[in-house]
Amino acid sequence: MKKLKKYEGLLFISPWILGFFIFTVFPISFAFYIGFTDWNSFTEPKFIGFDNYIHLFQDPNFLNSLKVTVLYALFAIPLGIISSLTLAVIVNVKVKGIYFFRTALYLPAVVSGVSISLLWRWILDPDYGLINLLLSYIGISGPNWLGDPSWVLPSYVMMAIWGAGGGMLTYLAGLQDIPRSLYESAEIDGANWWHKFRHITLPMLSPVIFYNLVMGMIGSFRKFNDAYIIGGAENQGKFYMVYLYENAFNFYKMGYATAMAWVLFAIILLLTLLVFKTSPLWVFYAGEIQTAKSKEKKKLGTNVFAGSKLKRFKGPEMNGLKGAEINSFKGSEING
Amino acid sequence: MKRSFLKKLATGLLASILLVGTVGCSKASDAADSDSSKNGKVELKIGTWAGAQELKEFQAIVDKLNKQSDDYHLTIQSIPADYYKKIQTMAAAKQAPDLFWLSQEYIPMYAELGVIAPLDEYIKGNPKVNLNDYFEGPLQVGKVNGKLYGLPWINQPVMLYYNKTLFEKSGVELPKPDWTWEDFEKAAKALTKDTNNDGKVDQFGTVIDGWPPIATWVWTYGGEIIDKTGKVRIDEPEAIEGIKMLNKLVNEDKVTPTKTQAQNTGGPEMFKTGKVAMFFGGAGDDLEKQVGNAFEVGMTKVPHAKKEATFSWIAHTVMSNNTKNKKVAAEALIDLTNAIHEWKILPPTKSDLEKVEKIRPDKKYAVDIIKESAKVARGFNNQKQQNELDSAIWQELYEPILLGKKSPEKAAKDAAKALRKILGQ
Repeated sequence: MKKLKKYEGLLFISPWILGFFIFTVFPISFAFYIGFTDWNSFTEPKFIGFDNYIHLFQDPNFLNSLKVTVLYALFAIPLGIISSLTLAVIVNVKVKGIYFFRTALYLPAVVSGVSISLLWRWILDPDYGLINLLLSYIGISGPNWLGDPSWVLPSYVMMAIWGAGGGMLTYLAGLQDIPRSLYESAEIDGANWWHKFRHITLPMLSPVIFYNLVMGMIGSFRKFNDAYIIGGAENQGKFYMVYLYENAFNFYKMGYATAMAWVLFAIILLLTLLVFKTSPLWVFYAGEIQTAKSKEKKKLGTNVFAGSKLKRFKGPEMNGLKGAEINSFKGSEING
Repeated sequence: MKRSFLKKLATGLLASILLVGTVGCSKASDAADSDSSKNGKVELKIGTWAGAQELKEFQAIVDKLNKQSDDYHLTIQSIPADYYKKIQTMAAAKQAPDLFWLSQEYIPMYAELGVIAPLDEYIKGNPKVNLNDYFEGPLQVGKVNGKLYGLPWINQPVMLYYNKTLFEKSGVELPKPDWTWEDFEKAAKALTKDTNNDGKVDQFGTVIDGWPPIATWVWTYGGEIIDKTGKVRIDEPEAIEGIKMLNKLVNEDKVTPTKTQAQNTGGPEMFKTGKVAMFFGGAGDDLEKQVGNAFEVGMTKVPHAKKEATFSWIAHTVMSNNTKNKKVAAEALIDLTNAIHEWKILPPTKSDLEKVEKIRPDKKYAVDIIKESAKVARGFNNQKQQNELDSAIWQELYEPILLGKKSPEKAAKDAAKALRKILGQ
């Protein structure tokens, strides 16, 4: 009977399992096949082998969209991390009314993406926009933000940084999780603020940074909403996903678009794996004892120990992402 | 024990299969119901992008038809947002409405993919349709490989609207139907000025920001972007002449606000607020109503060079290939098209043109000139890949010209190359 109880569980979740197979596994496998076909979505898909993938890399529009997206990620991710971290450190002080500032800074993350995009389109207007108006007060004639190809990307990076409040929350939670005792003992040793930041705050926050880096990477490559609404001169605002969408729903090239989706998947997967692989070198977990030996081991990396590879992948996933998130959210609730 | 477990397993699986199954089944029974209703009429769905007020008006038309007909009963399927995406997915699932609206650029693709059915056999000899009464332009866009796939219900030629008050105030001669592009240019230059002397031009002769279509110049200079046979001709001398005029207006005379300026404020808004003296708008646009008493609106034909032509926004009603009873569906399509001709302007038929005045009293002042324009109004020579072609024209030709990034010759050459690649020529 006990044995059977075990299967009863499976039985009860069978609707979910079926749903998973029907709505996730099947579409993904179907999409894999569609990537190798010429399909307009109306008639039967025509198998064409690797043609889609070959054409992709000869398509100047595809290469352009890839370039735009990579450039954006290259600037938006580090700047986003730096700005949210800075904000978190700033609002992590105990002054009266700090809740107001925290709320105000977090607000952009609450507003829907579409309304933000419309708002930014106005803010960036070269003649009637807020930014150029402010610039004109100090005698600078502002650029034609979205109309000048060379200013499109900076505009998007700026918009991304404006939304730094969302990331701020996780850093703030992380900051409040750092035991006071660490700073106290450092102060006794005569550490100044920079020493404390560099040697306590940063390492202790590294799991959160790691989490934000991974999420930021995925988010940047999947950028769609605002780019679709705002656009930008000379295709400089045509991000990867926008071009993918165009192919699927405007040009009716479903097979081609699906191939693009797989390439994007591969890119994100590779980058994420890369980050995960390097994470033992710079992500530290509270409770992890750092010795000369363990550092040595980390530097040698995964080649030495096949087993350590597994551990490390599991490690950050379990401790870093979920653990840090849960702990730190709890922390922030309690503390601040 | 074992048996009870198996029983449970079976029940659980069955339950979940049923859950999923019912969703599919309900769809199937829906379809069966829709074939024919109780009173023997064929049930038909009509897909439309009409929403809000427009939908109410359309509903009234459909109600009237339903009452009159013994053969069919129409139900409106209103898709006001993302119309083409929804039609695409519905068609892919073979669930497209029996009849639906299509804008001209979609017709060849839908026809070649077999999503919509040709109407020739149902129209031939049908006393309710007289194809000779239709203007050539709007009918032409429904023809694919010699067959007619839809009937136009609207034909809105681009007209030249002007701010009469502003012209008179500036002492510039009012636009005339026989204007050439040079006349237009001269007036536009005279009307482009800095009215408050702050060093910035704040009143413009016209607005060109991606609208009107580049064809406005290419066609009037005797060229073609893509001809009827599908051959790319945008890099031929006539077409380039037209692009040169566009380039001159935008980059040398600078009679239009910049592309960003115009797109952010909106061309029609700039005209309505008196910042722009001449505006290219559809004959049915309700600019007069929106302008109100702020100034007097005038309307004339789009200027010409070697020949007269104007782009027209044309939409057809088409019939799905999956509809069960094509004969009745075609009948409904014809009735519906005829009924819309009494509702929307411009009706694409010569005889219905007289009704413009009645349908839209605010256009009374311009009825004659609209009629003149209807004769030379036309659509694109749409291809199966029309969306992709339009995108390439914008990217390689129109936008670079607006930004002053390419010479007309280079833009035409690049665009031709891109178009040929898409068409596999």
